[in-house]
Amino acid sequence: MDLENVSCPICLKKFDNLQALNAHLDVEHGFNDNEDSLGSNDSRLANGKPKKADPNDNKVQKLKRSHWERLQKGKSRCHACGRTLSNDIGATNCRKCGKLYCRRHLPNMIKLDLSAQYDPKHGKWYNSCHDCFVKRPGYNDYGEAIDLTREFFKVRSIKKEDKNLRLLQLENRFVRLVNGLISIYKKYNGSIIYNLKMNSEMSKLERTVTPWREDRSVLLCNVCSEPFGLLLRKHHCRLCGMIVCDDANMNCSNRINIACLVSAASDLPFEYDAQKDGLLDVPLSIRLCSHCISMIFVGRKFSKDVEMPLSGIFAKYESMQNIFKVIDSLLPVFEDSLNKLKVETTNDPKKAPDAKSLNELARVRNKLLGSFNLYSTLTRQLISVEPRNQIEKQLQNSIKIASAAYINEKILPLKSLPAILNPESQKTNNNGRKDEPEVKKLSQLMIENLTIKEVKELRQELMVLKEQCYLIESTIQDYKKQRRLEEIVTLNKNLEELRSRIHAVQSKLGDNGFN
Amino acid sequence: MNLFDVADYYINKIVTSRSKLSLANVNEHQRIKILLLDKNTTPTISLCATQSDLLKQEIYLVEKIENEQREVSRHLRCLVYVKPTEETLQCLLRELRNPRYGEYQIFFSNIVSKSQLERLAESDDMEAVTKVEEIFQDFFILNQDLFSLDLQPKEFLSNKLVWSESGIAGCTNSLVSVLLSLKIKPEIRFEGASKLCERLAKEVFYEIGKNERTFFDFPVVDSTPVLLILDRKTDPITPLLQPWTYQSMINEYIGIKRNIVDLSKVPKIDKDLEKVTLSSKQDGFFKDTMYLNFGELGDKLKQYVTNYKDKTQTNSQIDSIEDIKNFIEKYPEFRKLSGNVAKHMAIVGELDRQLKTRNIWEISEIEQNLSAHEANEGDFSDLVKLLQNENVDKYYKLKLACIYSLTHQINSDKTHQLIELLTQQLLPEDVNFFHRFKSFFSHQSKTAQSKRDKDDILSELARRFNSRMNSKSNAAENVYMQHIPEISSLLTELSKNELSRDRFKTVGGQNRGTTQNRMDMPQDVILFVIGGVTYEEARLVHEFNETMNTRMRVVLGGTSILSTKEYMNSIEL
Repeated sequence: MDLENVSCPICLKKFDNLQALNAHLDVEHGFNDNEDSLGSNDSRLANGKPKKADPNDNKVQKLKRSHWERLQKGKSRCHACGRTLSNDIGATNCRKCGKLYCRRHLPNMIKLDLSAQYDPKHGKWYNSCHDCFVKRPGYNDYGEAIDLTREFFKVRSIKKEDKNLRLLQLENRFVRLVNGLISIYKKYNGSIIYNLKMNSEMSKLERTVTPWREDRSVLLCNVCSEPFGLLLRKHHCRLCGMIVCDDANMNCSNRINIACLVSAASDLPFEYDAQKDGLLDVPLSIRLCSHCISMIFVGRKFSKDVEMPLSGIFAKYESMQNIFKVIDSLLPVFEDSLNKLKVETTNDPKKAPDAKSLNELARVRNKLLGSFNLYSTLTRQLISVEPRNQIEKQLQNSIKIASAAYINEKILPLKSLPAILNPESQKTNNNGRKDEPEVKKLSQLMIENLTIKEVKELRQELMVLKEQCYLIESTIQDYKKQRRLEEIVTLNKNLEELRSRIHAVQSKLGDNGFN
Repeated sequence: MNLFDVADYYINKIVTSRSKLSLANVNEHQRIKILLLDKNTTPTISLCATQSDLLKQEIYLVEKIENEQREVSRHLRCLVYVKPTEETLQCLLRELRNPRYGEYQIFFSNIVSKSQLERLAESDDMEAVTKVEEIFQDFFILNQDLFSLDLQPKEFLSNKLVWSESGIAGCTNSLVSVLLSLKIKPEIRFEGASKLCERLAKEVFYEIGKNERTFFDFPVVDSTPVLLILDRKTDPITPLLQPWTYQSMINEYIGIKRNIVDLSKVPKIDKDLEKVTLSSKQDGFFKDTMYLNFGELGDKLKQYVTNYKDKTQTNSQIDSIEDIKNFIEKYPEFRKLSGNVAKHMAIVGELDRQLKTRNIWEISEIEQNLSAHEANEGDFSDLVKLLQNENVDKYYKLKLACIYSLTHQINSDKTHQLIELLTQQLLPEDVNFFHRFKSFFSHQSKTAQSKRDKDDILSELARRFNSRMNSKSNAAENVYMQHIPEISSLLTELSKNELSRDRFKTVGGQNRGTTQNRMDMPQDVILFVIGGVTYEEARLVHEFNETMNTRMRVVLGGTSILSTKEYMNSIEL
């Protein structure tokens, strides 16, 4: 704001200075109707005028000031922009936190009570810094969300109780029916004479288990509501007793083989077992309407499916996720130690990073690269699984894209290591050849594929490594006998290194490896 | 009040929701997730999240709930994100009766009624649902301070001046979800002269009152936020003028629907560029340039291309293995950049072509002059000349005539001359349209005119404010952007807490003190325009936000985003 030439924001009349404008506002526009607004107007205008703790200030309001930061000429700086405060750029305290700011960084207004605490209801307007402004409760809040899960569960359990009663009844009837039918069948099995008697006994059983609906009272199918006639015959569902049609297209009711029924609901207390008692040969079937079928069997099928062990793609993905977790836990460790090392080397470029931490870093990196290799191998395996349906096909495509992106993104920090490690490689490794293949590994990962030549090379390397490993192991045994304990310690270290290398090569080879 | 933050928060809430079962069984959470959307939430998601975002969260499948041909796979965990409409609920009930997936976590994009929840619970026989949650994003986020409901006037009006029942309900719900997503319980003000505004304002007020306890239980803020509901009809000129900023020009000449630009009609376009996405969230260049006018845009694009060329030059020297490694490392980034350059080149090229072939430069100059100056002989003769020009599209002639009728007193002489010209040049139904347009806005423009005289001080203030803003962007002397939408002056008034209480009434009559103290200016404002907003206005709001620098934050929304053509069509109703 231009201090010399101010104009009234309401009528645009020009004034020489702020005091004149203030007077004008009070008189002409009635801003002076009570003391509160006078107070806040003053504080507003103070915005334009550098305000020090002026002892002569005879303001009416008694806002707490003890927490205000004292202005020290040439020393105090604005807390937002860091400029030294002077009369030119203004110096005002945030009325809430008391820190000093220049004019430009005290733009906001908040309501405060007299002890300078935020009071949205009864407070008065005062200037505040951006920090205090933003920190008001509820100011920068967003994203209301209401969790209805509990309410949903409550309603569901209430509804479920009724349904469970009905289900229990149906299941009871079902068990009695199946048990009865099979025992009747077993009783008369093989004798032709009793065939008639068997049928009548069975239908008697069916009616005692379930009260059948009166034929004449029903005109429409209970499921599809089609009217019965010559072509659409009436049938009783043996469980609920309702009358339904047997239209092949509508699937309102079906005769289902008793063995299928028993094995589909094997958790129910049947007296007979589908396999043991040879029910597969029993030529009995029960007519059930679609309502009862869905009630008894759909839930069973659902929970059975859900609990089925993962297969194919899903199993592969599960192991991918495990690797994923390993990488996720290793990466931060790696980045941490890498950063530490970087800081050390930049602080003192002459000082070589100590071998121990470099060793550690190389080990973690090896592990990481190994996991990445495993990850990409698993991805390739997953993609090569023959998809059973459309969903699995889509899944494969998505996972392929995702894992490519993942590897691309996560491998970046790994690349920066050789720059640090390479000059020191002689120190870190006794055999010196450890670093070179690692670079190669990177490029392989990028392409996500191993050429036959590379496979051969890797296999050779693996063979050599294993041989060395064996040699060292036997030396250790020898030394143990000879009690040369100090040497054993160093050898053990070597052995460890070799093993991790073997592991890395193996995982790189993946399913191309040999045992 | 950054809408992108809201969107990110909600999407994150959905995709990272954890399975309840995982607590009991460690292996359980490794189930692959499928995201099930309906036709309303699909664009909501696609506006704010890319496929790679979803992939990163292990969402490998996205399906629509309306699709009945989906296959069963009970090893999948299903995240459902739908709008609680009757149609979607039916689909959801059917889905739950015979669940295709092993576990369901349901998110609704707006308030769910009690009966809806009960029906849902009743059909969940398998107890497959493990979570039900309401989040509030029943609107489409286009920029960080712009949202749209994507409702065409045909969909929400039963005739020109009356809401349809479904329209008012939909609009109210969406607006309430905007308030909830920003956690705001505002004072509702509306254009008193408009019945549409009044109805909507009252419905929203009622809805807030109804849900006060459950939803709108936010901490009291010292300055009450304001929801200001406007009617497009009070400022009909703005959507009629040819726009000149990047985002709005794309909307006008090529068409951008939910961040997707369809370039398939552009001659000789590359196959890869037929459909491109353009979002200020993902595209840094677009974020920098979306509010620039065409001239500034040209400069920026030139810079961008030279920058790109420099990079290609460094990349073209690949001599050693080291270079190859560097190249491969930078390659994805590089490819992204080259794709982006090609995209923007194609779009800007097309814009330039359209401007030339349609004579937009001349048309727009006259339009702006007509809208900015009062009766001026020179402008009129320019207008007549243009109307006689055979090369100019009939549509633009009609539009010019309409603009003329809006801004000038219906001077019988000149209007007659104009109508005569129109009858010579245009089809009878177009002339008919002009007459209807004239009569429809005649009484309104008169009241607006008188108001303009009366509120001279206010417009003076607005002018000063705008000149300040313009001088900042060095566009003060731009002939093509003389017109300043009315929203600008409204915002200026709001920032001084001087918005006319007579013109903009408050619902609920809570007149907070008759003396208007400028300290009590609202610090958060949501502007909602029934009938749609333009990207030009979005730019204005954006610039206003920048100038105010958190002293006042504004979010703009509308029933739809308008291009001139869409607006003309919507008047035709």
